[in-house]
Amino acid sequence: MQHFTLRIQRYDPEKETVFFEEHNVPWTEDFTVLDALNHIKDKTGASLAYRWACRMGICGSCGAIVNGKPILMCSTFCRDLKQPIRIRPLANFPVIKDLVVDTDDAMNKFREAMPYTKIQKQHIAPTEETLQTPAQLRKLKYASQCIKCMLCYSACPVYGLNKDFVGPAAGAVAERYNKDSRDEIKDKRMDSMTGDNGVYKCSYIGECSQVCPKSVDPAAALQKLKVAGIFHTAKSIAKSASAAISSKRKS
Amino acid sequence: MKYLEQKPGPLWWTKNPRYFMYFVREINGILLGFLAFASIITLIAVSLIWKYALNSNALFIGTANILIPVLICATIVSSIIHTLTWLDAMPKILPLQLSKNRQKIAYVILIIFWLGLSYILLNIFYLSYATVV
Amino acid sequence: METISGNDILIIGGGAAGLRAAIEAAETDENLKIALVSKVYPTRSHTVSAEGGLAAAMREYDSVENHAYDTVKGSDFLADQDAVEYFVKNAREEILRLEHWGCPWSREENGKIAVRAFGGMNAKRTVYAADKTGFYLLHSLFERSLLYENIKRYDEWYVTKLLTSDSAGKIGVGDNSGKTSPGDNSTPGICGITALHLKTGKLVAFTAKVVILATGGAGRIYKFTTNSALNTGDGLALAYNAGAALKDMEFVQFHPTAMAKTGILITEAARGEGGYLINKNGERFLQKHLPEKMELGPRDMVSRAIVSEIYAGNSFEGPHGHYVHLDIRHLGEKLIDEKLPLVREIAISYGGTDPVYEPIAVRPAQHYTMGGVAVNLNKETGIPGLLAAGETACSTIHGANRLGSNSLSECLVFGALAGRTAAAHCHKTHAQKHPSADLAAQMKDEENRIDQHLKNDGKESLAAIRNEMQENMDHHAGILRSEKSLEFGLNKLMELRERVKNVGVGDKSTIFNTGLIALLELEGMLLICETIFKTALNRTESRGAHYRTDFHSRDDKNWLKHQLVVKSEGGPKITHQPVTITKWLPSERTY
Repeated sequence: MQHFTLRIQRYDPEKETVFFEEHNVPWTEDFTVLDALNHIKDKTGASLAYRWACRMGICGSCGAIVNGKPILMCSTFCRDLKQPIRIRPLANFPVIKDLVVDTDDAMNKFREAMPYTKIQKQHIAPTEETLQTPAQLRKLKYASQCIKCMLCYSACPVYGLNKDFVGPAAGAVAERYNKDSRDEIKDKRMDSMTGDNGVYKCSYIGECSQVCPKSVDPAAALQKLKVAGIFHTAKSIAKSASAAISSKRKS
Repeated sequence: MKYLEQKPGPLWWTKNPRYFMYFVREINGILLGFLAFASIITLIAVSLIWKYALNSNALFIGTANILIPVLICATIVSSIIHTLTWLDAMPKILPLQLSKNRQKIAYVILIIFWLGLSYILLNIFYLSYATVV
Repeated sequence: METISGNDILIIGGGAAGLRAAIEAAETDENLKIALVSKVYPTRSHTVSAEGGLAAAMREYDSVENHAYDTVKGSDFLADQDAVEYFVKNAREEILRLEHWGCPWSREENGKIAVRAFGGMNAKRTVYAADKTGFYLLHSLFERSLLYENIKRYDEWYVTKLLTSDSAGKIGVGDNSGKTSPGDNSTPGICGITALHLKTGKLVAFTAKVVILATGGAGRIYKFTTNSALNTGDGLALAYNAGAALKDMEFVQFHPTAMAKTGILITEAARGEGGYLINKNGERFLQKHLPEKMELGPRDMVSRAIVSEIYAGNSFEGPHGHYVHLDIRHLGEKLIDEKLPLVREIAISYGGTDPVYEPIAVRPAQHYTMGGVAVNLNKETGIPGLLAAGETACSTIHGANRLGSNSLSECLVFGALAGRTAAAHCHKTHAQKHPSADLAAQMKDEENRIDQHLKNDGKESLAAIRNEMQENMDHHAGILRSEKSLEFGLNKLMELRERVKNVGVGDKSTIFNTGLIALLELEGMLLICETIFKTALNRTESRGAHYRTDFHSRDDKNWLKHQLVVKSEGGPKITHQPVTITKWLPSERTY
């Protein structure tokens, strides 16, 4: 094997055309797909546009679909891939240029998960920590690993067909905060997540957990939220029913 | 200047084996409902016809028409697929954090449990059918 | 050019310092309009790669005096001790505040926040979250920032220039500082920025009362660095071009344990938990250089020890150069999976070895820029309306060498301080009536400048120049420096600065033009390299991370002072600023 062949799907936003480019990169044992793209860009001065930053699989910038699978380009080695290596941008997002997609919409979904433990905005000056045992901390272990790389949104056909669906990563973040022993706003968060286009739009296809590079298992998070949502709705109905009854009694 | 819109096409479920299994699970669920309903109606109708119109006490109505065993078999197959595909989702719903291996073990345990339960229910059904008829 | 006005505070950079400043300003006054402008989504910022932890005096056996002394000694007595005292007093509260906001710090069995040992620290005071502290910290801050409606984010906007105006924020220069700074009351103040919106390709101007720079360091001027692609010193270049002073630029930190090929960081926590550094002969060679602290010595000394082992022929040799071994096998799989899971993941994916069974190949790589934009105690630069915080600023609490885990705490403490100072400024400054002709001219100039870059059909290759700059810095402004190597490096750099004028950006469109952005970043980086060479040549002593083979020892008589560089017609102009000493006089630095 003398070289790697990369076949890259490109898009020109000014001319509005999709076209393919093939490049050869000399065979190097530990080249990642990202290294190969950087090599092409530096050597040929190509105007190929793609995102990358940390090159160690922790920032989540370099998501793309390589040989049909959504992966992080900096963590995927060329030697493990079938040639020619087919690279195209993440699915379900509008393509701005080449491999760069517009993920603003999905990034905003995190707001719906209310990813904070308190909603008081005043300045606080704490003198002690809230105690939390290692066992309580372990509950957050998987769901808190999400690097917001958007591979799960690319894999989710529900999100692809309905952009209002809250989506897997937002579900994982909601579950992470629900399980945090310090959380104070579980009820508000459940109200937000069980609304229209909330967790109940998930059809449990499971592809999100399959592609997640950090084993967050967003599919499990969404199913658990569905179950928690049932109890939450029952509790809310019971509360409003008893409130209605007691106010009727008073009048 | 325009962005390239990307949407999953109508054949998105053919793109990979897991999408296909999802499709099978969902279609099978609908199919099972239809088949179960059809089977029950057919069995009741044929038993009534057999008993009152043909004056026979025969228990086995399966030979009335080839379609009846076909229908019953299809229902059984469909219900097995339904059970297997939906029990697969169970470990994810439980309020436990299970690794992939543990999830597979939980799946097997659930299947065994379901087989046991089915066996007991079948026996109860058969005994009550035998006593009634 | 479109102008976005109405913002009170504009923060450039969405890492730990930038997000913390935004949250602090938002909490101080909910009527303030805060714009957070970043060239990437905030969670991609380099803070996310930080692994080890953040330091504060958490326990009863520890005290803020101890933390301050360790920091001052670690800085080789170049730190400004008033800034250090403020920093150590507020670090613990910041960590507790983050904890209340939901950040998942690792815990001890009794539920209290856990601490671990770190290089140069005499007591266990480094708070951590497994070994992905920066990741958890950044995501907690980002998620918390979603709560405040008055923080508006501008993601993937590249800031090209700071706009100045004569009538902008005269209040600010000289207030509360007590420090001399190059600006005086006639310095034009900052009133906004111009930024390129990557998604649409449009150049847009923003006006604001205060601008905070929090863009991180400039590691990508070196070839072998732990830094991400984003660390191109944009904030430093913006400030320098606007006339602000850069301080202590000659001090660049090299982290001892980066993976031999890629430069990916293996955290100091691996040594904090008990890892060993072994040479070719199987010895823990730090016995010779740092007999007391050994692997937990300060980074500059450990890096120099590794380099001297390489020169003595005691290192391993591989396809990617010389290296030594970091051995954590004796810690056991359970501890590694619990406290160092990312180290294991990285070593397996990128190094092909499992650290539970085999040692990791490491060598020193560039890691942190102690130098930065000169700021006073309140994070104000010499220019009215311009503040800086985080790695971009030089406060300086790190002096000539930073202790590990002090940087993340600094981002929180000084990021919050910058947010508070900015909010206070906004209350004092009234809506400016900027002479529109002045601003319009600046915006037109900037538009033309960007246009010129795009039209340039030069034949020079951007990648080649960048590569040469990086190799030049590695070889001539690295761990060991001499007058000869620095002179040579400076000459090479000036040649590159000429050549960069002939770089043609192949892509003519402005929509997500990564080539154009790379060129603008490269121009900034070349400026920063020049300041480093000039200040390194000037400082004829060895202190902390700046080691001169021709001047081995520390010279407190002549060099107990900072060097400030400002842009001038004849190139960088250097002035001096004395070190602020409150308690600790320089003494011998042994570990």
